[in-house]
Amino acid sequence: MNKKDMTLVVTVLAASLLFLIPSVLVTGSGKVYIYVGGDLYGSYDLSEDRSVHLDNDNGISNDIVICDGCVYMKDATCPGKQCVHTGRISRNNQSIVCAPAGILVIIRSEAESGYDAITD
Amino acid sequence: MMRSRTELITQTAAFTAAGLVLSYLETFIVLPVSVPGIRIGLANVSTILALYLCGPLSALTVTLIRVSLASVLFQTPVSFMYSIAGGLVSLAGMIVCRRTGFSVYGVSVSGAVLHNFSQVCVAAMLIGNSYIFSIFPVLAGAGVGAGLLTGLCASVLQKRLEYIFNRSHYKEMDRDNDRISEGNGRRDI
Repeated sequence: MNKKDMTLVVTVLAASLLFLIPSVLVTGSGKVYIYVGGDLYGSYDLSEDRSVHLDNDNGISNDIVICDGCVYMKDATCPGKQCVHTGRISRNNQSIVCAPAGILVIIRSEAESGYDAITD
Repeated sequence: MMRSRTELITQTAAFTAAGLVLSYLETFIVLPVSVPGIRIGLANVSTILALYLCGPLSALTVTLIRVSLASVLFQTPVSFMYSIAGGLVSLAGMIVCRRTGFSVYGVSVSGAVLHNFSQVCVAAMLIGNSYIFSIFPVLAGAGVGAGLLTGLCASVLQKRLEYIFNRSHYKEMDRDNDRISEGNGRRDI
């Protein structure tokens, strides 16, 4: 490892930590947004327990559960089940993705940070 | 570097095969993390070795063939898009890093992080939503760790393979020249 490598490693780590700070601070509040194929399917309060069942055009069905300030994909009929393995999410900007079904579940808190405005 | 065309083709093929096996082995390694897309990227070791020992063109061949075969054999069509984008972007980054004076570790880390970056880009296109970029910091951190690990593997293997590649070559030369000199076989590639 030479000096340049060290610089690269430190820069990448520092940059990623910097971007992580806003999303770690806020937890358990905000809204759950569910997108199907890029369009907003619905938004739900994170503090309100409920479950959402989705049947997609491509034959994949997903069970999303909101419970105790967390969201998780309870079950899905997609091949890899990466979305189910993602587990529970509760913080701002955390997301569950089911790529085969084209589903994105994301938590957005009211306290918007400047970073979000850029990515929009 | 004096190496015949045949040797280059054979070595490229060997790296492709090794990369394919590593891709396969990696499907058995399940990391206990909750973020999709985090993996070690063992197959990148073979790409790095091809880049260092056989040149960029060979590394490109290894990437294209390995990714195509791996998606046909062990993955889905969707993951082909992720893999090919990740493979090509990371290879481009690695070639640039190698030219600009980074060591194997820097090259490997840049490859891993760029691989993650392009996968997030593809995911954003597939999902049609840019919010997905918010998981990139986590992926970048993991990419640094994975890159250092594959960099270590690559640097260890590079020295040994360089020696073997050179030795077999020089043995032939020595036989031709009827001049056997042990230890003289290590010349820089």
